Amino acid sequence: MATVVLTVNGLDLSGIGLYVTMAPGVFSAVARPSKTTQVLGRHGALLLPPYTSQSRKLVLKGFADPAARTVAGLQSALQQARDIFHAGLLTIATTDTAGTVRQIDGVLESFDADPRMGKLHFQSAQVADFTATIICGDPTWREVQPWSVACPTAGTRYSLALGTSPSMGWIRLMGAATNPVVTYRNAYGDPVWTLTFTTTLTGTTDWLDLDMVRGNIWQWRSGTRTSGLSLLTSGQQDWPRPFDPQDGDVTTTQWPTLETSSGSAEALYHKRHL
Amino acid sequence: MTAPTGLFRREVTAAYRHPLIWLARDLTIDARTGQAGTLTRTTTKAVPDSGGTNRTVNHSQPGWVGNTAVPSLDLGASESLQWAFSTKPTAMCGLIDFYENGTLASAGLPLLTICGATFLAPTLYLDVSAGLKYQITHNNNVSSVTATLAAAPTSGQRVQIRWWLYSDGKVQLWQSINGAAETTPGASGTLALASAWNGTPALYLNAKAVSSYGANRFIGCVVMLGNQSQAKLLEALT
Repeated sequence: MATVVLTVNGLDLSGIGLYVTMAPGVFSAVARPSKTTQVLGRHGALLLPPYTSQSRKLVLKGFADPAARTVAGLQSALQQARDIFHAGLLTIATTDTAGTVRQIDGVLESFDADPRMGKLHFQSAQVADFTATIICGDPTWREVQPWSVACPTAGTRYSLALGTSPSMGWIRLMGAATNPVVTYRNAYGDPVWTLTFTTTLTGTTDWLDLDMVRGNIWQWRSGTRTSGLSLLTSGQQDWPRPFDPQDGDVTTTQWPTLETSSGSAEALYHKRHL
Repeated sequence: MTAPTGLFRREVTAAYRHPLIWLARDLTIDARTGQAGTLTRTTTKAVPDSGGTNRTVNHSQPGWVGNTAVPSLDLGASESLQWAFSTKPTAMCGLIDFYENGTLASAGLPLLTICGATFLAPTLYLDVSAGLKYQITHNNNVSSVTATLAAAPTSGQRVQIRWWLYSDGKVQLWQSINGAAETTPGASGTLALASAWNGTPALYLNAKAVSSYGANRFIGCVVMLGNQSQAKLLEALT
């Protein structure tokens, strides 16, 4: 296992004298509970869809041993730690020795510090153990650097390289285009979802901004943005849907594709991992 | 979300305690600190994706570059990115992370500017010196002080420039090229701080207000209060 540096909102905790020794949940797969039902006359049980993923719980366990090993030094380190973990939304990042950085966002559930007393009163402690529990609503790890795919030629399918978990991002359709149709296909070439827009996009000035994260569609004309939701005239039931690696095969790098019928396009997203 | 002006911000992340943080990798021109970004460009241009394939982006459409080692936002001729900037002249600092892509070709081309809509003093800006090195200038509308770097990056190199405005009005730059250790020529002379920047101030990347444009590929930009270390500034861009 490579050495991993954990940072919280960009801060390496060792910088303030906090050392993480165990981090349950960082390397674990996301829990995927299933409901079951038993059928009379059959062994075992039936699994009931839909299958869902739970949030990810990260537990960072370690000790606080500040460079200034004094009572005041420990107080200062723990004070900083409480402040850092209470900041609100936390971005936890792991960096391995290969330089791969993955990030996840979460909020603090609890931060417990337990001064090591020995025979001393706790107020004299200079070292403490701590446990920080963080809940991550989106349980997937995202690659820190985004991925962009140009689709410069109408009617051509362009591969969407993904991680092991679905990615949401942005699709931009650039004019000149007339009633562009965006088609997302699985690696076999079968359409998975299709979005039809009824609009004319002028070349050089107009583009459609499809925000998959928030479900917004914006039309830009010469720098002025207006809602473009009403331009989506077919495929509303499929908006927004993610780019899903299960529409391809990660292990053999077979990817789903994206194409536009008119104009050109780009797809922007962060690869995500289970 | 809109950042309250002149206040420390604690709503979402520790980053919100700082005046401005923007990262190209977020794929938005809006700053992490809440300020909405404004991109000015009326022309089209071709930018490469992660695989190096070009696509043409239209009027006001951000040109995200995918095939640099770290994805970046291409800002070229007649193009700037700006955010409202409410911090008054005070001890402050920042770090700008970018790929050199042509700004250094001509003296006076801008990298970063804090000014009103018309680039009048009082202002603080980074631009190119007569000797084609990056420099920082603090102008309080009475006089100005400048500090100029001794070395210049070449096209395609990743550059991190840290700047300080001291409480006594001095300015100083540090430069790291391709991850090498920072170098600095030292601080300028002192200069009294004005009570405010001119006009309704904004922080512009790649422009002096909406005139005179550079040409670089920007990875990130942070502004903090006080005079902070490189490590502290990079923490915000992690």
